[in-house]
Amino acid sequence: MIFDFSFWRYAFNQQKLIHNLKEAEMRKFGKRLMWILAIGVLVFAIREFWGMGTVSLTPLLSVGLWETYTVARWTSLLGTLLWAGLYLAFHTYIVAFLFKKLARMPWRAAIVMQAYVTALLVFEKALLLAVFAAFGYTLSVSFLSFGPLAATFLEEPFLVLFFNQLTVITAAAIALQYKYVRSFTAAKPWAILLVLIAAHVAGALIVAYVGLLPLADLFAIFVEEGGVPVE
Amino acid sequence: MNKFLKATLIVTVLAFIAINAILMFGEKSVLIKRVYVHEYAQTFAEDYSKTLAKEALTVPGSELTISAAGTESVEQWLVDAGDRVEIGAELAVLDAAEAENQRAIWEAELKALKEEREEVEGALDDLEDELDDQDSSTTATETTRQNDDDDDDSTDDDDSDSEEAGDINVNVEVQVPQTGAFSAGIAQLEQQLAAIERQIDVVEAQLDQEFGEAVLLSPVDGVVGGVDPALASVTIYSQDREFRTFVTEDQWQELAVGDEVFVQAAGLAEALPATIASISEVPAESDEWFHAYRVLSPETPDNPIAFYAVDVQLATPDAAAEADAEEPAVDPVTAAAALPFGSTANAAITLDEAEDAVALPENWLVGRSEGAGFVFALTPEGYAAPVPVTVAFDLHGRTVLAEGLPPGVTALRDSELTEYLSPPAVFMPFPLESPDWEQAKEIPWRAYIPFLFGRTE
Repeated sequence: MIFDFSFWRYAFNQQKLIHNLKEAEMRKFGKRLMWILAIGVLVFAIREFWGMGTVSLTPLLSVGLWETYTVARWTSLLGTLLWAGLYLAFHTYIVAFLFKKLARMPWRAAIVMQAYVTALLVFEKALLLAVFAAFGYTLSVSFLSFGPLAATFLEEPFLVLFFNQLTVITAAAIALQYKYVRSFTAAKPWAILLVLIAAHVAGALIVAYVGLLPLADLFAIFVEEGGVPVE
Repeated sequence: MNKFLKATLIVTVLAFIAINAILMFGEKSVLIKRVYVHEYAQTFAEDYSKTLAKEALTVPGSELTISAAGTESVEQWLVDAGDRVEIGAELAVLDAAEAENQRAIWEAELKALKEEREEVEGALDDLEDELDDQDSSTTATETTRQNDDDDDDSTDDDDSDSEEAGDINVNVEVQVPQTGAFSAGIAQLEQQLAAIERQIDVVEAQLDQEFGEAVLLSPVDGVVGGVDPALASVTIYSQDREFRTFVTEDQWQELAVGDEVFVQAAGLAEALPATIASISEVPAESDEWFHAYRVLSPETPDNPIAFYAVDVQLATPDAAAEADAEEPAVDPVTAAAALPFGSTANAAITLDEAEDAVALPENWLVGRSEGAGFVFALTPEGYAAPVPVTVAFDLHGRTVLAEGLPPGVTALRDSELTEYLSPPAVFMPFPLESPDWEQAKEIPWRAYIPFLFGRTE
């Protein structure tokens, strides 16, 4: 049998999609996935156009380097588009590949699952942008995460960054992945849930760690001669 | 998942988001915000001037009305309106019977002129002393003398220097600019002295006439503005031109004597520099000049009589050259001589001027009160800090600043910036202009790596 993939038709009826994936041949998925990725890139671009994440470039204007600021914003847009490509590709293809290899899921099921996870992540970013734009300012934390609580009551930047990664969308992604993995593997449900939660927590730890990396020093390691000074 | 669990989950998630929203967006939020600023601009210095454009009329620099002693005293008028007359020219033959009365007036006039000469000479001495002292402050010398003679008016002059044979007033006013140009004041007084000498000569010539053959002579050079046989008077316009306009009470408040004016009219190659010589404090008389102005500019203020005459005097060639040093000096007085009396002109009166000043759109100022306010500007760290400024004047929707914000600063417009107790970091929308590739090439390649991450280092 053959069925046509439709994002919205199955978005709130994943069980039917899982059933169809098991029983039938899927068509028209690639085109829908491309739409998700394209919208994802667009959301990243709009964030950049609005200026989100460019506060560090503002001092260039303070010292009258308007041309340099323009160049920096265009370069930053390029960086954002590259990052959007990497981010979206990672959450769709690479994570799907990992599920295929580690959980021994069918590739088709894994990529459909990650398409919905990626869509959730894009939705989260778009929602955050819309709310910030409505208020006219941004914060370094998301209202969908534990970040605001952590930022209010904790002073450790690492913990704030870590809790900021644990969002309602993360929970929704775990729930979605749990449903698919349970349907396509023979692993025990509690084990699946534990591994998924652990994987997401590990991901949050990595993001928090990278977020605190002194990029300027790292950059110096690559471009300066003489290597890293030993202290 | 049963319905109860689902509902509990939804309520929990919503409560969680609500708490976060309070922590992030509530009034008591302690989390650091980065504020979006849509409009920003780099300040620059420029010269600004606020002008008031008015219709104006070409009028004589001074009008002298010469009246014979009585309405029946003139036997024959020898001039007509529009005739050019020189000092000493015969204007009218007087009736022999009235000649004696006329002689009395001339004698009074001669006395007045001699007294005026003394006053001018005194003022001249004072100025010369001042010149020796090289004092650069403004000096105004004013002398007034009054002669209580009960005779009717023989002559009256509406200029600042006036003389009346019957009720003689002599006013000598010399304004010396603060630039210390005493020599200009002295020259002005010397000119005045020469004019008085000429008038004394005329009056003496009139007195030298034989009894019963009196002739009315012109005491000045000029053009006959009109002859009024009914009043036995003749009006002589001086040949120099001034310009007269009329202002409403609101405009009156904004003007001051000495304000710079540029006058343009058909027949003039370029706008002529001038200054406001006088601003009337009483409503304009309903004369031919005012009537013409009302036709040219039929504005209707709430108060219909609140129109005030403003006389605009052309700048001297030296002052004109000083005002516009780059252009070859054109003698404004000579240029204006090409205009007939009563012709239309446009006067641009400079109300306010600011050199090398910074201007911003009016709504970029916050907390404006009595010529002061705040403008948000970027600190070197990229924060929006309020800078106190003082306002010079508003011009076409922009506010010209007197002081507070230097050129080269990035000014911001966002009314919500006032809500932050300490200056917040700000970010801007994507610049619409394309990057300058030449500039881009000059930026070291290493700088591009942090740019890719939205950082500067």
